Amino acid sequence: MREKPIQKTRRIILLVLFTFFIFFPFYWTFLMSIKNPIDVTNYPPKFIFQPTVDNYLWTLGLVKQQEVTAGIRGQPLPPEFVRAFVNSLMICGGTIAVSLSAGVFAAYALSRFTFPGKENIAFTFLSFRFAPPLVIIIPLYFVYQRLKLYDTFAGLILGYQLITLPLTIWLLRIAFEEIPKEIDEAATIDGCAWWQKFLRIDLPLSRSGLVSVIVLSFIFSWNEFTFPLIVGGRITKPVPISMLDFVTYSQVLWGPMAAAILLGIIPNVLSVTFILRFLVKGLTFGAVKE
Amino acid sequence: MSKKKFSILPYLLCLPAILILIYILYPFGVGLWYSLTDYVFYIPQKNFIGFSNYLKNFLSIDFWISLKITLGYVIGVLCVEIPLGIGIALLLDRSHQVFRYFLPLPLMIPLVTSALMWKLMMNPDSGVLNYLLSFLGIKPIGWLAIPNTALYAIIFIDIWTFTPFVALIVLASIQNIPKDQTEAARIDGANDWQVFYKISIPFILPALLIVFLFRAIDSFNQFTLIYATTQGGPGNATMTLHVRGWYDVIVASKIGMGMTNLIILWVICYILSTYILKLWSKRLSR
Repeated sequence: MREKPIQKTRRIILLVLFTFFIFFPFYWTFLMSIKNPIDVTNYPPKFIFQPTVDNYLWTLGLVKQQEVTAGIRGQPLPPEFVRAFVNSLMICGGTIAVSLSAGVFAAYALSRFTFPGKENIAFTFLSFRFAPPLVIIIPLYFVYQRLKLYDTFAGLILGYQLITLPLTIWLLRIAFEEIPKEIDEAATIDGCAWWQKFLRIDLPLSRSGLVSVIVLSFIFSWNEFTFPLIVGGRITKPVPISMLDFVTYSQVLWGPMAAAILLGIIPNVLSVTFILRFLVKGLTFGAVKE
Repeated sequence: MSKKKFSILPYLLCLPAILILIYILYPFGVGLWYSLTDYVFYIPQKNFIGFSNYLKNFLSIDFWISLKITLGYVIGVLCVEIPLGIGIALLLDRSHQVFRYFLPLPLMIPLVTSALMWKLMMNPDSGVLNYLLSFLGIKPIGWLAIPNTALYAIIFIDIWTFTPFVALIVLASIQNIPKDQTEAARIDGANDWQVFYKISIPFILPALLIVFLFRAIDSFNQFTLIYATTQGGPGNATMTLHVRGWYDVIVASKIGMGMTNLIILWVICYILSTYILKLWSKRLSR
């Protein structure tokens, strides 16, 4: 494709502008997170100022900051961010464990067996993706009140299956179907039962699929907001809900909130970096001679 | 499997997932039942009142205002994100890899953080956005604080968050276009625009349908973004059907009424998603 230099320049300029548009909010949040309370609300906004780490220390509960805690109707805001972080990790871990252990077998059945009603079952799992979340969550709130599951980790982990289980089943089904049929047939000829094939061949061969399912489930459950807002409370509060704590009745704690935003996306960035490193294509390469 | 014999094994394997499915389907049934009752908080007694909640809803002006806001939101989001996403994907297709690194960033982070980051920048008094726009000679805008602009401000945040999603899917699809087709067309004297219109668009159409489906449904169901920025206000300028369902149940304690709104929204989403999925599978099998 031949391209005139002027077109190329225009293309690069447009892309730089768009990248700037995507990146600027992160840059600005970072600046906010290292500003003193006085600089945060200054207008015109300051690009050059005396930086501070107080916001991070306060958000992590390492220091009490008088200027910030004052004026919240006499109540010093306890920095609950660290607890929310631990809560989030627990909820995500439980969610992934449940949806993997239920989903891996369903995905295997859907990919390896033919049985009546198969596509109906598969489609029902998918169709939840297209329902308004609150149509499930609000009645779930009343059900949980009755079952004493409101504001419990078990309740949240079971609820989060609405998000991660369809994802797990669909992605693992694709991963299992990508394993060459020849390997499966060879194992059958060698006299393997289905569970031997499952444990010894299919599970190890689909490990890149498994890793991407785990990482995606982690990100989706880490980011989930609506579920813990309705069926969670003070005890189970995860990171996305705890960000709203910085909006208090009398003021918005912009500095600590910016710090919390940046701390709260660290797991996402780390897990995506991990997936990019791990996902090396060709794990089955060479297993079948063509 | 070669054996034609009926086997219980696959059903057993699916059983845990199906149990969880039932666990999730049960609240849906409960919600459907609530929408047919006059259930209100703190009054444990529920009376079956048939479809009168629905009738009351269709006769109230608030419902139609919410529907209008919802449709405005969905159309606003789709009209910008899809053309912009295709444009970005076309630019990225010919450019250096380095531009692709930042693209997934808004998709990875919690939606509530993108809402709060923009709320921070859209602050009418001290926000950086009005400051940057003042260099272009634009007067300060109220953004989320004013009924006239609040919906547009939220649509803007949605565009920032999800245009990369459109761009990434379309980009993946564009890169699968067989090179010999475009080369043959070019040898025959087609220009860039003709190649795009006659070869690229038909090829990426299934991917576009999926992108359209996800963006349309997610915009109909947008809750986090609106809750974290305006909670339906100011006034009811951003009160979409989904947010109204939340408002009716949690704030106004009218559970029956709120569930009615949510069920109506669910019907809209269900019809739309099955219709698009049918179009998509027809397109794929062709």
